[in-house]
Amino acid sequence: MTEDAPKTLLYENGAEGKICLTNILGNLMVETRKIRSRKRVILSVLSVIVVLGGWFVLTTVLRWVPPAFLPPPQNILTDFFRLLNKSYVGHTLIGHTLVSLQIVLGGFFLAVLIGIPLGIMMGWFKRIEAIVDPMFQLLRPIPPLAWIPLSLLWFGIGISSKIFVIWLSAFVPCVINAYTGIRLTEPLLVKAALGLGVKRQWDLLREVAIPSALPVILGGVRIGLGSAWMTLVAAELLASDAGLGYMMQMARRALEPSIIILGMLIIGILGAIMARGLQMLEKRICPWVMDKER
Amino acid sequence: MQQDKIFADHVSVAYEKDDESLLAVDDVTLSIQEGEFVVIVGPSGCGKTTFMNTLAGLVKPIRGKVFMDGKQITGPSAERGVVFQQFALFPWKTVFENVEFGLKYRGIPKDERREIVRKYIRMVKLEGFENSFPHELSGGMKQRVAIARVYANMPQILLMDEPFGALDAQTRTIMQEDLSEMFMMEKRTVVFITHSVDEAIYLGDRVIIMTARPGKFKKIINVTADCLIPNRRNLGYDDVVNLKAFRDLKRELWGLIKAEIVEKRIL
Repeated sequence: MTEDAPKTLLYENGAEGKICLTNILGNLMVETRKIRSRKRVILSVLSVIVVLGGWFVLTTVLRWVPPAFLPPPQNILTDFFRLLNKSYVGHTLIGHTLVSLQIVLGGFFLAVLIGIPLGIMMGWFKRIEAIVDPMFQLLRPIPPLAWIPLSLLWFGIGISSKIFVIWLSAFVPCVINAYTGIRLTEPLLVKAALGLGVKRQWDLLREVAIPSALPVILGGVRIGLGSAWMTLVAAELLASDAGLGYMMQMARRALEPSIIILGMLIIGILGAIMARGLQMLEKRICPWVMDKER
Repeated sequence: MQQDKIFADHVSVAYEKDDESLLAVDDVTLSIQEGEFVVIVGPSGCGKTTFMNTLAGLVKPIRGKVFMDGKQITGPSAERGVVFQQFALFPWKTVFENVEFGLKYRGIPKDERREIVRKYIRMVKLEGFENSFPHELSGGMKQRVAIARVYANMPQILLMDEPFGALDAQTRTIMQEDLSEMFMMEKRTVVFITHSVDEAIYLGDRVIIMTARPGKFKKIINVTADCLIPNRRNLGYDDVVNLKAFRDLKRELWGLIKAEIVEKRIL
């Protein structure tokens, strides 16, 4: 007995010591994480400042780069305000932007609306897969841009030909991811649902397969949005009478590089905002996935 | 004569592997009475799980038939709830929604559902975790949710396929005690699969030892009916394990299983 007592005490002390240590380590880790995130923000802001500053110094202070080659950043800003309410090749800046947005969003939403259900059906019903898949496999390797000549022939130079091409470019990843997501449904979860009383195929699809595929489907939507933007500019550069790509193409002919860069920046900013919006939507729709990744 | 709850009549089950048909369960006959806790124990790969999937209706036998209450089992049904080793919770549903899942398909109105779900979440001691998602829970807690989900759905039979196999030893012991307690509180017919001899003797009214593949029944031991371990259900796991009767029974069972493993060289 007497021998036992100090042993336990020692053990208890040891355990307490351990707990203290983990507490300290835990706090330290939280602290460093805070510092890290603050450092990250500072670094991000710094990098933007350095790039813009370098650009300014090269073009305006040192004048090493001629403005016809790379205009100084302030020129782009003045062009931005100038074109806000002044028409350039047919539309104001806002007008061009709206035309582009309309095309991107139109094509993208059509792709999501048609592509996801089609992919889901292909993933779930063997017969639909057998019918659709050969065509899909044949058309898939054709780059969306290769459709431009045909779409111009079919729909003319207006908005619908571009919506068609963008629809194609976003459609493919939507279908593929929806199909893959459904195919990856955990068989164990299907078994569990069956054992809990689900009887109809439709309920299995709705309650098990689609929610389990949702993260993969949303991944496809994100890829689709990216390729929609990429295709947009190419399509507008090739054949158009309005839109950001058209504006940039016209500015090249008129030797106005600041307007070209302005168009690029707007595309970049809009693309980033939309991608970020999608990410937030994903977090809302699939809280169980985002938590794991973080 | 009382009708068997489950009656498996000369059942053989095969499964396909690499274009080869392997016999997993070979001519097994078994009847299970209402309220009985049957444990099937055997070396790994002996067809225990396949047999259970057959009882669940997830796999069709190549020979023989399985009946529940005299009616042939032809497919999965809410009357036979399954608890899987890998929990099989719906990751996009909260604890509450997971437990509620089957009740929706029983057409139970919302208010009643809520009450039932609360009751079973309390039974598995997970109050306060109703709105957690499965990935926020430990393994033991996940399996508690799965047990509550099946219990709440009021199946005639509970099929448990190595439910504690993925848990650490400490959690496992507590889960075994809690399950035994639940079984006493709410008597259900249970078929439980394990490869732990201790678990089998601690939980089972009847313990069935299976041979290595193709699985047959090697021996059936009536732990409760023959009163091999008196007063077992009222004792904690530790107390039962240290009883002489338990140790003797364990030695016997382990001898049988070990013989299988050595004989068929599935080391």
